[in-house]
Amino acid sequence: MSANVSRVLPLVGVADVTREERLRRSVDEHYLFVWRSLRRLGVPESEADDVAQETFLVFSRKLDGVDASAERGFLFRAATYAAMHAQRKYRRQRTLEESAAILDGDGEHPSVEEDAERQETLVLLDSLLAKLSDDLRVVVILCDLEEMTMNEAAEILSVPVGTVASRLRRARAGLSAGMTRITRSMR
Amino acid sequence: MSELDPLLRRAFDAARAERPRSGKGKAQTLAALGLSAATATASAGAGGSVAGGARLVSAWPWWGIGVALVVTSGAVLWSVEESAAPPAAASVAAAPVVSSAADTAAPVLTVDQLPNVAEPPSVADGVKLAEATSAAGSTSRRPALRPVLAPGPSAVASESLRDEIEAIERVSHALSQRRCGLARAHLSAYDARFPNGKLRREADVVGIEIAGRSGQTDRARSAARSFVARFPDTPYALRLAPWLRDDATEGRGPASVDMCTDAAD
Repeated sequence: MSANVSRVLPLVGVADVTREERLRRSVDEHYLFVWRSLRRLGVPESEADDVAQETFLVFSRKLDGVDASAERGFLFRAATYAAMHAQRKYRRQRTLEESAAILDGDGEHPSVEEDAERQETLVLLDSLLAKLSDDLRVVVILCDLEEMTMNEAAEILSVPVGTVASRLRRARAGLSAGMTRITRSMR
Repeated sequence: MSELDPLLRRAFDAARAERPRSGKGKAQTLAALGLSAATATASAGAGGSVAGGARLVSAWPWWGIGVALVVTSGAVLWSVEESAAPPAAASVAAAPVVSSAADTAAPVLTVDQLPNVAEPPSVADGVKLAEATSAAGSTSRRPALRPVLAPGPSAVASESLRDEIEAIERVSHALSQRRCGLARAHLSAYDARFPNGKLRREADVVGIEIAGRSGQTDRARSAARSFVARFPDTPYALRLAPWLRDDATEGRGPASVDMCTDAAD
């Protein structure tokens, strides 16, 4: 390598490369997890990318203090905080009527029948999740939607496994009851 | 989950399957972090505009790609800065004219091809820097550093989102190195090239950060408040939070912010 190259290389410290690689890998591995979590935490689809970006910016600033094995938990907590912050501005508690109106608009497209059904299911789920307390909602997101074990969820949420189990039980019961109530009312 | 209501199970399945409609958000996140979007976007399956990045991913180990991208980026930044150095004669102002090469795959460098200081910047990664002398009699202390897009159909055609992300990325990278002067020059280049860009808000926010981190705290605070008032729903409010508070005084930013080392620029 020529002496001239060495004049360029000091711009690229090994630590910088390592840090950039870690950031890049984290975005690659966890972006979808963060994005999906934000959606279920009530962030509208149109805003989820922006809030996910904010989440990763927070992660970037705290990177040196986050253990590699705890990245996912940190990102989830950061996403939860970002979603709470964003909710004050974005989150509208859509009624089913409003959601239906949105879906009607989507239905004008001839090839989206299946997608509309999926969207309807998601809107329904989100409306039920929104009725849960924050404590119950995050447990459902981690255990039922992201399919983490109760131990993993307990670690991320810093609560005992037994607490996760009981919250999950209550959350599922609430969701099932809500689902039954809504489907009955739609008949 | 066998005890779950079937409708609830179906809803969970739908939620697990939900995806962003495009890879744009991920690419923008990488850009905001000062990382090249090419490689990771390729892994997100974002599409053809990053096909070069996808090829890189398959051919290079990750660390190699990182080194190549960062070295290339560093070389360009270094080159721009070198070009932007004040001229010896006050009557001649260097005005780097940046013209983008046509969309091509991300450059792949071997060790032998690493940029050499004796080489013109255009060899580094397709970004061509041409110096033009200013009008005679220019006595401005500060040279005309605004890189201006050379007009022409090829330049217009190359104004893709990828180009725009890269342009913003150069600003963020310079800012992350606490070099506000360089960041400002790159932002001027972005402004000239993408006056109605898709990342306009990002550019506005990074402009505020440049002002604040270069010591213009009052200006940054005023601009930040104006921005948040104009876009009350913006998530950028989080990023602008240090400049929305009153704990900074002119010339000295908030405690949580790293000021630029060239703040006097």
